[in-house]
Amino acid sequence: MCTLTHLLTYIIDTYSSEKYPVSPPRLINILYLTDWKAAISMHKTISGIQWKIIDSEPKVDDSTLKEIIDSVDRKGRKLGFGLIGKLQRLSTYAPSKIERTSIDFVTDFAKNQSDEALSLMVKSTYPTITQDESDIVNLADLAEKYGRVKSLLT
Amino acid sequence: MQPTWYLAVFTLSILLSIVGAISLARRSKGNASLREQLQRSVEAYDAISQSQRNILTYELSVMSQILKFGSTERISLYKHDGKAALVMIGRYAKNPLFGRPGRGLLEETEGVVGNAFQNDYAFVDDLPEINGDDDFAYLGSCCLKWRMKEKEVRALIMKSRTLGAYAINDSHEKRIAVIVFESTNKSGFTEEALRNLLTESQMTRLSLLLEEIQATTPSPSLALQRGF
Repeated sequence: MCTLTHLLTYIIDTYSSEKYPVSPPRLINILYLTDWKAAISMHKTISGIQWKIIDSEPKVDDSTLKEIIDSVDRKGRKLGFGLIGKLQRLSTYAPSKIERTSIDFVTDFAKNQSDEALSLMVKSTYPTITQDESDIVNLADLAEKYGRVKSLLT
Repeated sequence: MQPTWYLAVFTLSILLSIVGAISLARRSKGNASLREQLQRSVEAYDAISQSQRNILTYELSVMSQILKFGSTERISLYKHDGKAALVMIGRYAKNPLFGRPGRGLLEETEGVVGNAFQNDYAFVDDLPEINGDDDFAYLGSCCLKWRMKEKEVRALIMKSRTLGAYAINDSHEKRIAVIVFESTNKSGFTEEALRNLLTESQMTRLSLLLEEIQATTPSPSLALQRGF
């Protein structure tokens, strides 16, 4: 199973966009969309984050936020990526091939989106529209419910 | 000669240590500054998102005050999205329980909201009372008259008995949204009170506001198109 540290390393190592560089809010949105994409296609999430939806936006707890800020900080100082990222991909805790399908889909999408466009996409997903503010959301369950109402949207 | 050589090496090593310490201190300060900037970026992002939501909430809260709504009422705004969906994009309720998003996504023909979307407006002020566990009459009315599904009626947090809903058109007369007023009380408000509030100019104002924020309001159909 992929750990958050390995997932963050993989995303930061593979995400490249000069126009829209990685930042903590952008990374939170990428992680959320990755989990939602994985919930839709694999019926499970990847990051292990317990997402909460507050004010129609996915939020993480303080320790996860610190880890996200740390990873962007390391990227900014060009520490811990490149070679370490490549080595970490060999680890059993690195994202699997099937997990990388969801991650790569989201990073490819995100690198061409402005902060506003990425945020709007997050706010347009089924969980952010339907969830109560104080609940921890179960994205896999919601993906199943989403499958039943999708026909209204096509 | 030898002491001078030792002194030179000693002096050089001291100088290198000082330069190294200054460089480390500068770098450490730079790192702390970068971390602070990253933390601030999260806070700034939250603040921007909050201000966009506030526009609609403020608009609905003003209406709530004009109608003298209390903790048993709420106002919601649904926009049409995709083929046949209505998406909740704004809600105001004094009671936090009723302010929750609920289902968020409705079928365009379902309930009082869907009825208003199809027929300009819909109003009901006498949905049956729920006595304890006895919700048979309430369920019957919602399912038979207002085309709601039993499971969804049972899951409603707010079991409204008075509802008034009005369709909103854009400047090209295309139907784009529905505004819904609810109360858990029988005859919680009158149709006349809503008509007095929703004058032609007020509906135009709402329509223009919706057009203005169109690009920043959620669209699940767009999310679906993009693979989410």
